[in-house]
Amino acid sequence: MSAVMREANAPGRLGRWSLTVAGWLVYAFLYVPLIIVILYSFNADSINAWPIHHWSFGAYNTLANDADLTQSIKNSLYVSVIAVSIAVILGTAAALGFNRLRIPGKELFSFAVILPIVLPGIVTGIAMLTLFTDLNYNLSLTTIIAGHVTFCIVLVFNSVRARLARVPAQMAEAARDLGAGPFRTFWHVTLPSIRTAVISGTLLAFTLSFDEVVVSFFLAGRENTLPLEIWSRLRRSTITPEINAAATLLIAVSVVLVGAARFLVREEE
Amino acid sequence: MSVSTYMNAEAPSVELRGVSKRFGSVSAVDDVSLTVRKGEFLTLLGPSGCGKTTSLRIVAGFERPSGGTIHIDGQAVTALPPNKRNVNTVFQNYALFPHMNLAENVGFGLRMKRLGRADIERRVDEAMALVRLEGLGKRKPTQLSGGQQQRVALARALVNRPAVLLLDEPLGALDLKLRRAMQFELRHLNQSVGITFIYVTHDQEEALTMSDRIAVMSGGRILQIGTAQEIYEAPATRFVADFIGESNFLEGTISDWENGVATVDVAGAGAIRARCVDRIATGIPVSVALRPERIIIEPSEQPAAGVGAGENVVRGRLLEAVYAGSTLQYAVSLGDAAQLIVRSPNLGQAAGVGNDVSLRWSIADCSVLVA
Ligand SMILES: Nc1ncnc2c1ncn2[C@@H]1O[C@H](COP(=O)(O)OP(=O)(O)OP(=O)(O)O)[C@@H](O)[C@H]1O
Ligand SMILES: [Mg+2]
Repeated sequence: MSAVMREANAPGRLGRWSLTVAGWLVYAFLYVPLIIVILYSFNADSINAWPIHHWSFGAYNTLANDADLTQSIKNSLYVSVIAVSIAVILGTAAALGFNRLRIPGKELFSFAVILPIVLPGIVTGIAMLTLFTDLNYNLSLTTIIAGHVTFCIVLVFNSVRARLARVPAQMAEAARDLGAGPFRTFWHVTLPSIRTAVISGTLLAFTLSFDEVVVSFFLAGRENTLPLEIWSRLRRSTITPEINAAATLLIAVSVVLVGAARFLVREEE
Repeated sequence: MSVSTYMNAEAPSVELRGVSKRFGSVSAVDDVSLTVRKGEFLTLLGPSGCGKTTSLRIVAGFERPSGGTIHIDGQAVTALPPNKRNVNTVFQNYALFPHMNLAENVGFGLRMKRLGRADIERRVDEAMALVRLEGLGKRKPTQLSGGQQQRVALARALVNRPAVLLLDEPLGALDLKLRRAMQFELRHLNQSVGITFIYVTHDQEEALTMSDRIAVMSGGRILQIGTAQEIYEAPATRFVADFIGESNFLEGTISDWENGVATVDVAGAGAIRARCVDRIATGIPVSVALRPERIIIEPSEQPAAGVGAGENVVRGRLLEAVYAGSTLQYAVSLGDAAQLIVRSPNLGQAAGVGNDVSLRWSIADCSVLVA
């Protein structure tokens, strides 16, 4: 009896084992490169080689004194903050409007808003570059911002739309019933009910915008964003410790923002 | 100012004239006219989907009627948004604000009226005490049971002291005991504060015990409106007779009419006399509605003692007797064509199944309904 059970269990145990191993391999595949980048950013030698013999914060010091690199970080912040701000307003407004829509073909409208993120960045990049060229508009950080707005809107729109779908229409009706006009209903009831969705959409949009390469590459003028600066340096030389330091900063910012977004969405449910 | 106040005091609290609401091809409310008096407790009663919620939503201002007009305290409000109407709603599914605690929920209306903080706090406390949730002001709605949420919804509406309170099945989620207590509380409130109540319920017992008047709805129309007694004793249609309480229906044709009493030929029962206000021509098919508890059942060998001129007497055979504690319920066949359900108080002796029995009831207890 017990022998039979053990036999029946054997493949199960093997299966569980192989699943566990596969799981760890996936994690390793995803995270080992990141960890290496982070570790190398603390390497005192200017050549990346394993094992690391001397640890230091030198790379971060170099980074802070590298005018082009710090300028590119400032540019990236500028682009992302402005692009995301515009996207938050437009994306939220679009989601609110969409939620009120009572027409056939509603889904088509939603698809039209989402399209920019479904399209490969290269298509968006070419399309917008064509547009700006036709308009004789000089490429600059402003054109990069325009490019980023397209996909940032989608993230905010999607996040807010999903939340609105779960907020009963009666919430706003109850506010009206209790004497609130349309504006105060929006301010006291609708906005608080989508607040965390707006914030989490914003954080995701910011993360995506901050390290975006493809669209930025097509639309950049003389000034570089951080990812473009790193990329152009790699074409000229090998990976230097200060690049690892910049990448580590990118990782840290992304982890914090994505984590915060997840936390907010989770808290609401 | 004083003139208009005086005029408004004369006006009905709520008046609907020829109100209709269509959703595409569905007629949710169909030509409803209704006058609700000041301070009245009016109940809309009817089966699911008959248009009760839609009617309330039209009064509240959430739905613009497809036709007709609405007046509140004599003022035409048909085109006014909900926030401009002196009306508050207790929603069927509570609709509490999830991001506000209970005190903030209840105080929302007062905040919108820009009352002072101290006033708001005092009135919120009063309202919370009224629905027996004192001390829970800091809780969030998600931390409450369904019944508690319902009471918060009630407090949130009541605290504003509106002219009219609209309640959409406000006690649906409560257990029986709390439900009884809240029914009493609501009725008391209606009588003491003088707020007009328009109350929606599925529950006919609740409607009968609480209301000044009941409007029975079906298919978007009001079939009958009257006091509990009027509706129960003199249902206007077969639907009303069937929906409120239980009723027997004897099918027959009119053979005579005199002074508000019709004689109806019923197969198996002979000539039955029943109340019938309007004259109906001979030969018209009708039903006679008769409540089971109004019939007196006796063994037929007994001489029908004291059969008055005002009574109907028929003979039948007892098919079935059901013991139901305080009452006994009998099924009696009158020939092959007709059957009557009889409910009598349990006096210790049940009639024997299979025996012939004699049934009698007062003419005033049965009424003629045109089929
Ligand atoms: N927004 C709407 N769109 C389309 N049809 C609707 C809408 N609201 C109500 N209806 C329809 O109108 C009719 C009346 O609905 P209503 O909600 O008033 O019924 P009710 O009497 O309140 O029922 P219940 O007792 O189940 O709450 C129903 O047939 C319903 O399907
Ligand atoms: Mg309803």
